[in-house]
Amino acid sequence: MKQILGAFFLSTIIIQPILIQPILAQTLIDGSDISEIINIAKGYGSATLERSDEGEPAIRGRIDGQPYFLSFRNCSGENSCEDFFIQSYILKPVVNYELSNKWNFEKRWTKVYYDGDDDLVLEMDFNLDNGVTLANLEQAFSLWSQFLEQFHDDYFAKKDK
Amino acid sequence: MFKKPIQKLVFLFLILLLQNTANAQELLLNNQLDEIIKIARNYGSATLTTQNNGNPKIIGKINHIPYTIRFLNCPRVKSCEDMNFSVGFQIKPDINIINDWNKSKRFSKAYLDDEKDVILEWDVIIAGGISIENMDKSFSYWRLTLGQFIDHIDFK
Repeated sequence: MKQILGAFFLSTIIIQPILIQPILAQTLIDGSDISEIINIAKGYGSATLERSDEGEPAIRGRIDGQPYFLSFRNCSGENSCEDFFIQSYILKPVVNYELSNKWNFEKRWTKVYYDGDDDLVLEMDFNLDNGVTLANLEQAFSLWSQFLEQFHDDYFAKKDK
Repeated sequence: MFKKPIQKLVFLFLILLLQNTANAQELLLNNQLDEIIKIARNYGSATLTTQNNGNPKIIGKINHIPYTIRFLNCPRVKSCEDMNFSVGFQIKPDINIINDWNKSKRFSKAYLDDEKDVILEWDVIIAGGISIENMDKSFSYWRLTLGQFIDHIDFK
């Protein structure tokens, strides 16, 4: 009986990390997993790691030909950041606050605004602090790709000045 | 400490079990509304109720400012993919003030509704799961945002 119990506990000690960890924990991605985040971005188009003007990690990417820039923020250490925001621009459109307000009223997940140069900015924030699942982050990129397309192709179609 | 090998094995088993449990980061899944309410109550009052469409809703207050969280995209009862934080004010700021907010502040957006009253909103994805600490950080951002916004629109 003792040998049976001993064999049981020994075998569970060996296989416990294999069985229990996946049940209790999924792999979470946070701001230290920048390579993983770039991988997700590459699933939607080109994406390269760069540095922002502030010296923090950034991703320059394209989805269906439309450019965007993802900036990581609140970074401690070399590559461990709490959050990021993604932006895309329409340069010097006709300023139309009614239309930008209409976007912000109708659309979720993103906002638009005119910056200091009167360029129209599409922006989305994402909180990475303490980790999210891969599926959660992929959902964010999926949403971004949808709104990026709407922003450039349809909603703010180029109008003559 | 242990006279018999079987006792050592049991002890080692229990230690490893505790360690594996401690190492596992606590994941918040999209059907754990009770956990989300607990986090909301760390920031003020919060009550779980229901929207007209049957989806869950939280009505809360942070620093005396009432806000609402609507849960959306709920394929199963109380299992929803995302949340929308919102607060409305019966104030009609100039659209430039709204643009200035959206330009300078993160983790929220502001807009004027059909009656030109201002709304502040933020969306959070919970599909797939996030850590409990991540959800707590979202509420922390929302509290900060609310405080800054009422100053921005000069709400009294």
